[in-house]
Parts: sequence; C-alpha cells; structure tokens
Amino acid sequence: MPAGEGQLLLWPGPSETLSNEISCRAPEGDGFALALPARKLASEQYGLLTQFYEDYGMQRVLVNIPSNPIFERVVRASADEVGQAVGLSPERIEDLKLAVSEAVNNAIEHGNQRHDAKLVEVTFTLDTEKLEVCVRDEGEGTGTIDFSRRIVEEHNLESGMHRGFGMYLIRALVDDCEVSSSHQGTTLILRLYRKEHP
Amino acid sequence: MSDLVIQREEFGDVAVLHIVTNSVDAISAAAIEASATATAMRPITVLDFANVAFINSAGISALLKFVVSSRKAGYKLFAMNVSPHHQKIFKMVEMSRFMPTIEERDLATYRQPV
Repeated sequence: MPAGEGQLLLWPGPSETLSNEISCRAPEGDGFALALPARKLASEQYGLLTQFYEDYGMQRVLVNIPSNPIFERVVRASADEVGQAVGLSPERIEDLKLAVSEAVNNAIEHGNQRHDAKLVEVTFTLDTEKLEVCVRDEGEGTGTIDFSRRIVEEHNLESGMHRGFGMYLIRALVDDCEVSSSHQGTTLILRLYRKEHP
Repeated sequence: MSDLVIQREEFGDVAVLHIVTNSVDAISAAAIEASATATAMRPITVLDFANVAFINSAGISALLKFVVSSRKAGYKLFAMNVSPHHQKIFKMVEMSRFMPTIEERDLATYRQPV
C-alpha cells in the first residue's frame, strides 16, 4: 500500500468478489479481506459495508487512514454504519461517533503529529456483548492521558485556552475505555456494551 | 478553507449566523473561527445549528471564539435549533452557560414586519 493511502478492510468471511470497484484478497489463513482506498470511500460504499456485515456475519471492521484530519470523517462515517449495523440507538450512535472522532483526532494531532505517512488504525470489533473500538497511532507514545472533566471556564476564555475537551468527552460517552502507550505508538480502546452496563 | 460555513442574517439589533456546514469539526473550524468577529455580530447574536449534524471538541473550540468575541463587544450570544444530542454535549462542557439556547419564536418580536 502506498505511504499515506488509507485502506478499509473487512474480515473474516468467504472469499469472493463483491464489487468490481473493491478488491478482495485472502490475507492469511481462512481470513478474507476486502480492501479499497479510503480516499475513494463514498456513501454508497458504507451501505456495502452494512450489507457485508449482514451477509457474512462479519465481526470486525478495520479502517486505516493517513494522518490528515479530513480522513477523520471517513472513520466517523464508518462508526455510524457500524453503530447502525449492531443496532445501537440513535443517541448511542451519536455518542459513538463523537468518541471515535475525538480518539482519531487525538491520534492524528498528538500521536502521529499530522505526518501523512503515519497511519491511524481503527478497528471496530463486535461480540455478543459489546462493540469495541481500538484506535492506534504510530507516534512515539505519550505520558499520562488526562480524562478528567473539562468545562468552559471564565479564565480559559480570557487566556484563549479553548482546547482539551476531547478525552473528557470520550470517558463520559463510552461505557469504558483504556489507553496503553509505548515508543511504537498509543492505543486507545473504547467499549460500548450492547445492553445496559452494570 | 474557502467554503462558506456561515450565512449571516441581520434585523435590528439581531444577527443570526446560520451555520451551513453540517460538520463543526477540525476541518471547518478555521473558517468558523474566521467568522467570529465583532463586526459579524450584533448586540443580540444567535448561532443557528439547524443544519449541523455533528460537533466535536475542535468544533466547540471554534465556537468558543464567538463566545469570546461577543463578551468583548458586550453582546449577548445565543444558540438556536440545537439538537438534543448537542444540547447534552454543550451541557457537559458547560458551553450552555455562555451560549444559552433560544427558540426561533423568541426572535419574532425583533423581526421587522415586511
């Protein structure tokens, strides 16, 4: 795959061609991958994603994007489709989209420092009890991540400090999340349970 | 970004700034911030979110520029047509303290009869 070009992969499932526009290949073992350049994604192709899910009982969706904020919208659209496919309520889908958006923007901005050649890998994994979203960057790692509550405050307005709500929103909108970081990058895992979480 | 993101409507002491992009995010933030000038505002300024389907923290940061500009000018800033989800997010970050929500009908008395 050329540097800077994202890819969307779906697996596992039977090996066959679904569309002339989307290449299919068997990457390893019994797996099956459906690949297309992220920059060519169009709304009708998200419909295909949903169809693929229904037809083949797919358990996982992988989206790789270059570290350009415009591609955050591709991941967000994928989150929308996956959320609908797994039957989340409209409000939960909006929560999912916002949490994923924040995680991806964080990976682009702070993880990969907007280096186009560095990818952000987002994996949506569904099992019987939850939807798990893993957002991984190729940055040099980070120290502690602050998930504490951030609100608009008078003194921040005066000083022009208008950022920093993202991690708080993630923590507040998903059922649970965890982060791990090393010199190979940072991984943020978000989980939304399909039923009310105890 | 040269795309139009705000359409301005003015009547009397009121400016309604209709946000025409459906995504208030890192991509549209710069253009939104550039629109947040005191000259674009009036003593009562209303941001109209009717077309907005998505707002993230980068978008909230951009919207805060309207809060700052309106406070500096001594103007009142309101939000209109905010979806229930976005009202929830605004409350979470306490944006709604600085930009309370109003209804379209609240503007009726300010509109001039044709």
